[in-house]
Amino acid sequence: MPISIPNSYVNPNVRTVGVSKLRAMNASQLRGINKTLVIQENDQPLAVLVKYEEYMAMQQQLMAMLETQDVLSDKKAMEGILAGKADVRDGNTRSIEEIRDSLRKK
Amino acid sequence: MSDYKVRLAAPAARMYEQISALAAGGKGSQVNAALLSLLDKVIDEVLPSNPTMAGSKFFGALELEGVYWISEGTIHFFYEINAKATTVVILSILNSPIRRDHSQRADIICTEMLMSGSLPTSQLKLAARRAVAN
Repeated sequence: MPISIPNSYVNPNVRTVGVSKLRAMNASQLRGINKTLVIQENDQPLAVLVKYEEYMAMQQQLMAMLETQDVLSDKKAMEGILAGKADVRDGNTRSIEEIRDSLRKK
Repeated sequence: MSDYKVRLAAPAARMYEQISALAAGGKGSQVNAALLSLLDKVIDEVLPSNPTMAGSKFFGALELEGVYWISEGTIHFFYEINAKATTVVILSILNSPIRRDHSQRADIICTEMLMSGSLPTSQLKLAARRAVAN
C-alpha cells in the first residue's frame, strides 16, 4: 500500500528527494545534507539514503541493545553486575593498588 | 586530561584475585598469566585514559543504566564511571569463552531494517525468550 504521509511530517530529520534531483547532486552536496533522504519516484518512496556516520551509529546502538539483551539473559553476569552496583552504593570498593598489595602479602 | 583512578567492587576483585592466584602457579598457569596480563592492560592502560570511549554503554535496560562494558578476548569488564571523582569502578569481570557476534548481528538487523523499512523483531524476540527462560 502506498504511503501517503510525507516522511518529513513523521520525522523532521527526514527529507524527501526525487530520483532526478538526487542524480544531479554531487558528492559535496550529499556530504552537506544532514538529513536522512527518502528517495522518491512519482511521489512514491523508493529507497532510503542514510549518512555513513548515522548508519554506523545505528549499528553501534543495535550492538549495545544486543549486548544488553545478552547480559540481561545471563544470570551469572547480572548477579555480578548487581552485586557490584550494591558495593558502589555501600562504598565497598577497593583500589587496584590495595588489591595488588594484599596479593603480594599472601 | 586527568587519568581515572580504578577501583574494584567485590565481584571484580574476586575474579582478579582468582586469576592472579592461578597465574602464580599450578596447572594452566601460562594461560592464566596471559589472562592476568590482559586484565592488567585494561585496568592500567585502557580504562584510566578514556573510560567513556574505551567501552560501550548498555542500552534500553533500567538495571544496566550507566553501566559500560568492554570485552578483551574472553574477558568482559562491566564498569561505572564517576566523572566528577575521575574514578572508574569495575563492578564485575566475567571470563566467558562464548564469542559474541554482535557486530555481525547488528549488521544483519540494520540491513533487514533498511530493506523492510521496519524493525525486525525476530532476533530481539529470541533474546527476550532466552531471558524469560533463564
